[in-house]
Amino acid sequence: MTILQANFKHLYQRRIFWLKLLLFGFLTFLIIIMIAKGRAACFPILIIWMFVFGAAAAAMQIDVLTKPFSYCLPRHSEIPRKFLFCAGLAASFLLSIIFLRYPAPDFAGRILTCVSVFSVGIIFYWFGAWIVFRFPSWTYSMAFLAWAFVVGPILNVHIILAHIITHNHFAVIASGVLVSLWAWIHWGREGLARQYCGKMWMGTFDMWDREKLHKYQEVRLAENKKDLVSPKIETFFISRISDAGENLSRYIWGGLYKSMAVMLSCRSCRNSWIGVLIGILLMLLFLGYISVGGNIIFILPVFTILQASLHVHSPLLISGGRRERFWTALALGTAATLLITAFLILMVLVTLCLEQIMPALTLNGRNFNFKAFDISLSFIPLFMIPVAFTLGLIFHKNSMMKIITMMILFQLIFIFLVIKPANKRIVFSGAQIIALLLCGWAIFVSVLRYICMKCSLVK
Amino acid sequence: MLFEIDHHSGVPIYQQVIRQIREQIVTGSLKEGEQLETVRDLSARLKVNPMTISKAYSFLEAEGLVERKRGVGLFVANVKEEHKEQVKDQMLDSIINKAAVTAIQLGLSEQEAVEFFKKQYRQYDSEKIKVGGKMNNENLIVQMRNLSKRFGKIQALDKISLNISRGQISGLLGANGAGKSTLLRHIIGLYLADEGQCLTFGTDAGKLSPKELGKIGYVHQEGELLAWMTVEQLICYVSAYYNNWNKQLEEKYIADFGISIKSRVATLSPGQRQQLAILLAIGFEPELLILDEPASALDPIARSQFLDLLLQLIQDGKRTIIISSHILSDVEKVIDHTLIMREGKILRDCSFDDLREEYLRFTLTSLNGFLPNQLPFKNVITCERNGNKAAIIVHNSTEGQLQAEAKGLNCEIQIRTMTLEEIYKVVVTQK
Repeated sequence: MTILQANFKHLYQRRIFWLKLLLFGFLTFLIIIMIAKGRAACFPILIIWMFVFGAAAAAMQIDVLTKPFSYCLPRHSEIPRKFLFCAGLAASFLLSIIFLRYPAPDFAGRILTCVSVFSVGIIFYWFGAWIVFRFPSWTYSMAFLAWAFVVGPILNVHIILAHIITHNHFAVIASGVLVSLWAWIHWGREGLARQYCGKMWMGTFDMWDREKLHKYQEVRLAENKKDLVSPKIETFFISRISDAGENLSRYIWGGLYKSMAVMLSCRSCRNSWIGVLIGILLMLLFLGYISVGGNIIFILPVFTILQASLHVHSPLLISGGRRERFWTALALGTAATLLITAFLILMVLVTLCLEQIMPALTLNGRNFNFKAFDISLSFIPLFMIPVAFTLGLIFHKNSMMKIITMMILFQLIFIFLVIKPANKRIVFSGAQIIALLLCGWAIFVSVLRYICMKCSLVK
Repeated sequence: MLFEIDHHSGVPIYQQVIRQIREQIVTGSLKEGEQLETVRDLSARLKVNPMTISKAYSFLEAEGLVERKRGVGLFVANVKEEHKEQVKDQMLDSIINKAAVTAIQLGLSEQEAVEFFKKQYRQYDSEKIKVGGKMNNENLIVQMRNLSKRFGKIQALDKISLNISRGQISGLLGANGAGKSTLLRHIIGLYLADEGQCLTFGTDAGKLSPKELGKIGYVHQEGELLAWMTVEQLICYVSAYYNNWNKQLEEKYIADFGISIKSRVATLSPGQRQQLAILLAIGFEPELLILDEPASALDPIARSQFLDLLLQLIQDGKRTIIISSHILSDVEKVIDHTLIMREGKILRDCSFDDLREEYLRFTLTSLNGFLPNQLPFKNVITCERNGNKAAIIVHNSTEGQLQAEAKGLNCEIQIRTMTLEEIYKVVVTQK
């Protein structure tokens, strides 16, 4: 087996890629449906498809490049380019064949459309790959996708794209050739392997790799020279731990200090608090203008909570036993839920004020009214956060299962809260809310107690 | 010198020797300038390994109770009265403390307790007081009975039964995956047994309370600490949990290890992290210290510092230490008890001295030019022959037997004690 062939095995051997295959399958299905209906929406889906595939292929290659052993493999420096080209050309070719069904005046027109689609596909494939190679943080790729999904429809990007692809064949094909030429030079440059060898790099695949994530966080911490905890916060907590004596409160204070001191000190955002405020305001404006979809804010913290630790499986042995671990974790879970809920309620209040002053916007003939978040949904984090903690506890050794389960749950809630209220507003009765909260917390407490008292606590 | 060695007490033999010589010095039975028996004589008389006596003498010498005169031997040193008083205090301290606690628990007033003590004292005053005695359960820090643990298809621990006594320094040896870390984690209750029981300080390890856990120091092989804290913050955080945190010890070791307290834990090298983990584990002077591969990331100098630290920790003989390590040459210097594991089972659980006595390595050189094909030695484990020479490892044979048999063959014999590493290899490869 050649090194290149071994690289292709990633496409089916990496379990995380199976999820992406599902996504690609779904997007392909959408393209076929759109083409059958003769709708221009097939083109934005095509560019999203190729962009994500480019990003994934690049992430795989960076993952290999960062492994020091690959640097020493004979002629491995040629592999990234070969792999990227083979994968990109094959994917773009297969996708472009689907476009043979796209309505065109004659056969030649269809063929030219196909070639144009191939070129556009390869351009966005290289764009995805370049973003991943260029920016270590995958938030940039996410930003493009968010733009494609949200801003794209508002600006009628699908119509513009359809016009360019079906009416400017030669320009598009020439662009594809030029970009591919640039890619050939860019990924064949000397020093590419040296640039990435041994570097700590986190790709989208690595979100699932607990060990790598931990190492990455440590490297980031080592690079950050600032003191993360303010002396006042430290003194406050340490004096409470010391003064608490041999009782439970000592461990609860300790757990709160370990988990929340950095956040409460807010050292990292102290110098840029104006930036943080502006960021929050922009997010509120964006979510407010997408109408009821803004209520997604009540679910977003769940993804942070999934990665959070209740320190049940902490390897640092302090004098707390299993009982102390249980109560500390419970106190932490409660504190986190209350803090996040309070923050979200504050955000709701801000949007209620903004609703009074923000004007209606008109974009491409569409009207956008600022809408405050639905305060009656403020109970959602009170229910969802303990559920997220529960999943975190159950799948503490399997991040993939944790995220998949949460995504399924998230999809269900998303459909329930966002899609349906577009026509009809859902109102939860007090009894339903209480039942939901009791249910969520009962599950959390039971699972937490079972894990603390009956399970191994090794990380 | 009168000695009473109890091989079944669970108290390491060298500690029994140290305690009894100490007592004889402070009570005046051994006077200043009096010569101690040679290592060879005493070991022959007590029927123990010479290394055990040598180790005991080294401790006494380090303590200043005896002094070595080059080429002559060991003599009782000029011990100052205040030093004698200190030693007496140390000897009485733990016993009196226990008695005081029990008296309080029984609801005795101070006066009643003192009266009771006086009565007992008068009763025994004229009798010959024997030291030592049968081990009771209070002396057992860890007790495991048929402990089993399975991870999927892997039997990590298989019906393990063992006792670890107070003051015992145990070396837990085994290949990777033998179950050492799993066993250690059962002791502190991080793992719960599928079958069997593990008692630590007499309590089910899964139900250890802060009181018992406050007596256990643990250094784990992952060396994972709270990376966002600075060294100072981490020490401050951990020390806040312990009322008996020894600040002087902390300062001493921070200086010895050369770690900057302002450094963030994330910036420390693996070796420095391990040193910090060791400091956090010993800072509150735990009764039971569990060290899981503590020296794996340390450089030679740091390892030597760590060994010095361990030797200091075991000076008082009160601390129980379980150390798991692959660096057997280091472990050998400190342990008095060996636990050898393979595939989740304990292969050997015995004192290091016994293990050393059990395995002997000798070289046989024929004086008449050839060695017979059949050698008369029993329990031969390995035998490498080369012309008129043979290097042989045997077990359960005495030096006397070997010498007699070598004489019968008209051979010269050179017997030497095996190192822990050599013994370990023999034990784990033996079927």
